Amino acid sequence: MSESSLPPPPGAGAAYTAPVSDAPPPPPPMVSVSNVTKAFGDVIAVSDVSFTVGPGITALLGPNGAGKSTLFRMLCGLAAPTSGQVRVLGRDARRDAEVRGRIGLAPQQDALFDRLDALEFVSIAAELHGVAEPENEARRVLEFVQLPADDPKPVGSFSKGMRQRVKLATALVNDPSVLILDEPLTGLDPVQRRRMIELFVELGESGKCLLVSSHVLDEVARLGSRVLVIAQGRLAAAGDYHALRDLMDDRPHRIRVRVDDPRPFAAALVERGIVDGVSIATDALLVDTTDVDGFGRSVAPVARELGIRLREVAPTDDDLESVFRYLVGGR
Amino acid sequence: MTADGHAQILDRGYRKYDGKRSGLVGAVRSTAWHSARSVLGLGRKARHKIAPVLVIIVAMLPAITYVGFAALLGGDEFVNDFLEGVVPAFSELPRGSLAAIVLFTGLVAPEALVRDRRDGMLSLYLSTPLTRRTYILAKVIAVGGLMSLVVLVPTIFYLLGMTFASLGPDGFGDWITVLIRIIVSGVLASLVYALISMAAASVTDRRAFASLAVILTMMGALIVIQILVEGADLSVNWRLLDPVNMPMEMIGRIFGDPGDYPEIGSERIYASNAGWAGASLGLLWWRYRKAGA
Repeated sequence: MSESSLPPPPGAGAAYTAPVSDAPPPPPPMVSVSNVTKAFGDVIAVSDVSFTVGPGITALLGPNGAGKSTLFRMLCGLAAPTSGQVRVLGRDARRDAEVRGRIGLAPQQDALFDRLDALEFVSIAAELHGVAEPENEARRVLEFVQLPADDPKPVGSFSKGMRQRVKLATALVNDPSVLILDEPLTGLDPVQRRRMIELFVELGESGKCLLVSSHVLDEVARLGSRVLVIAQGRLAAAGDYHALRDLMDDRPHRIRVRVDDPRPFAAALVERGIVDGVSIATDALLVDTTDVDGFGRSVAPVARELGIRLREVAPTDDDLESVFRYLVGGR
Repeated sequence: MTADGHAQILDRGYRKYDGKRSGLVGAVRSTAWHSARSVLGLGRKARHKIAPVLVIIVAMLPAITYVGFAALLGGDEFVNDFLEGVVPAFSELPRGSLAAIVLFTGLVAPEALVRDRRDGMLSLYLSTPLTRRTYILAKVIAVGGLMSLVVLVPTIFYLLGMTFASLGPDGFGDWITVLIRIIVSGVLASLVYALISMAAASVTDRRAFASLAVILTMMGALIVIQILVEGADLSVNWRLLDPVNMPMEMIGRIFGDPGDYPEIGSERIYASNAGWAGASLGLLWWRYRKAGA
């Protein structure tokens, strides 16, 4: 996926394709989803979704029931698409055992043998992947996720954060090229989340493809800016969420403006038609405008003209949550 | 700390794995082995070992008893002749463990299958080189192998014990023939019991219910058929639907014995076992065709 490319219009179900540019060609996609639909009887869980994903972290966003986990299960080869094509590393994970060995899955549910300790559990996962020295590899990944390998406590007694780390270790034990992490931040405290995100970033920088689903938008924003937004089974948007915000022309941008004397300044902005709306808070104005560039060009001259000191101009809704609300809010 | 006293920061970053991967065979082997360990309670507290060990001991009791008698009393030609008339044939010994076998079916398959489904572990298994087919294969190997502990192992112990007590088959050729028959019949009967119990255990995600389902399938069918044939005087061919006795009958036929139901032809006995195995496999596959998806 390229950060500079334009995403399709929301809800179109159109393919997300790399743009033509002078930049070096993007690496070949590690995950490719083409016109995929998955139906469970009369219920369409995923509808005509297409995208490609390369190395690094890509966040899959969507409200509960949007189809994220279904999409992940199809990527891992656990479920077949009703129509369309899913390719991981260029192959069909349902039919190719080798490519399944290159995928690491951390499912949303607590899929753990509670009575085993972490080392035993991760060692079993290593054995299932046919790793030559399972215990050594289990120790390697447990060290990476910062869990003590020799802790004899069963994973059933672990905290949520520790269980999430066991799942990540299990997903990593075969050194996969593609990591599918379904809601890995759920139930973690802020410190654990920060640490987990640091691990993801490190893995992404090592060249792995990480697909991380979440509905914790603040944390997803810290994973990076590449997102796939799924709503009601359809791909609502894909790409850099800052670029997505810029595409939301029909929704005013909200900008906070701090000035010495807010009231006359607000009146001047409205009078000159520079803004669509303005509200006055204690020490700042909250300005709504669909023409960010025009506002940017005009705000300083107006302040100078009125003799008002301009202290701060900052966007307040140039964040992932704003983009997400816009894309899925009306569905 | 290094030897010269300087501190050292070790690289705790992610390291790649460049070693070998054993692929599908390793995954099947690992799944079968860990399933067997789980059923036998290996690596767990002692209380988890009590039930399987007790049932295995009960299954071994007839063989241990007869071998014990032979060892204590045997040796004299007259006594040996007497003992040969008293101790059961190799094809008949497993019938002495039938109660333990049925009990074991209610113990093994639920533990081997239900825990994976209940703990959501199927998605982990199926994201490895295993497919649903090979996952089932691994479980059949595990459950079948464990069933052989109560179906096959007592008879092998019996053969060895009787041989040491000079009551075994005559000559090396006969001995090998008996051993092969014990192994073939024991493996096939274990497989049939394993498949029937796995199919019954696959209908629920609750272990206790699964055990009940297995026992009810085995004993329920046995009782109903007994009533139909003995009480309602229906054809003896109804016994072909008996999942408890047909594998035992198959063991007898492999040894060339007429068995308990000589009026039923051997080919029908084999067909009955094949039918039970096939139907069980079909139900198992149907239950797992979308599991973990």
